[in-house]
Amino acid sequence: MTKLDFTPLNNFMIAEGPRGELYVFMEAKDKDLESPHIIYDGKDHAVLFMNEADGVILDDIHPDIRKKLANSREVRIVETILEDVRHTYFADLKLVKQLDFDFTKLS
Amino acid sequence: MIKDFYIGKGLEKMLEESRFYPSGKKNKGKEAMSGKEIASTLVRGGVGAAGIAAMAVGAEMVEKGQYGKGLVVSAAGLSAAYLATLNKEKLKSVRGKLKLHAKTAKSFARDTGGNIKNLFSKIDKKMASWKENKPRVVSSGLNRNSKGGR
Repeated sequence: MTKLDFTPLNNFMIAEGPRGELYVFMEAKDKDLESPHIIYDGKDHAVLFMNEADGVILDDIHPDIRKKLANSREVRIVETILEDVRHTYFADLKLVKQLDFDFTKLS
Repeated sequence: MIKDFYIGKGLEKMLEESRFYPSGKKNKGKEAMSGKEIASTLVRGGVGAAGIAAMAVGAEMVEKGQYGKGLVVSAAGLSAAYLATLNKEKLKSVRGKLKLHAKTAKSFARDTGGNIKNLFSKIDKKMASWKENKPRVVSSGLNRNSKGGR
């Protein structure tokens, strides 16, 4: 099992738009974007990769949105600083049977 | 209908038809809310009203493929953010409100890499309309008299 050094996000919002599209609103990380994508197993954690080396753990995903998130193929990421939108981009979502990461040592 | 601030029809529709799911360790156990509910809650709390509008603008930007560099302006979203801030009691004067408006516009332009000239041109047009409606906007009866339009 791979040890994951990414920071867990303790406070973020997943929103579902009028057409069922999903958004993740989160504090801006200002990382270089290269094929941003999310890996998810349908449970409480997901991992958002901004690029190969940088990413965050979407920790404690709200139970009511997990099924829809698992069925999404892409998610709109909105990075914000206080009240301002910093970056917005699409992230492809890859559904896996089980995340191959060790989340037990998350702070 | 969001009673706490004036809001564009597009944004209002989006908020009414959207659902927000607080996530992360800090939000564990919090219930999902509609966009309308969460916006109202934030406005009543006195913070984050512009933020929720900014979020909606951000979502709109993504939807239109206008993310990253380049002109990103949503007059409706911007005016909603501005008008939302009008509901804060600490803003006593029109002048103060206009200052805040300018700050909001600038920060939007800065953070989206937007075209400030174009942005302010749109703002000016909006301002003309806002000035016409000044008594309604400035009125302390803002909450009671809101019909969701401008």
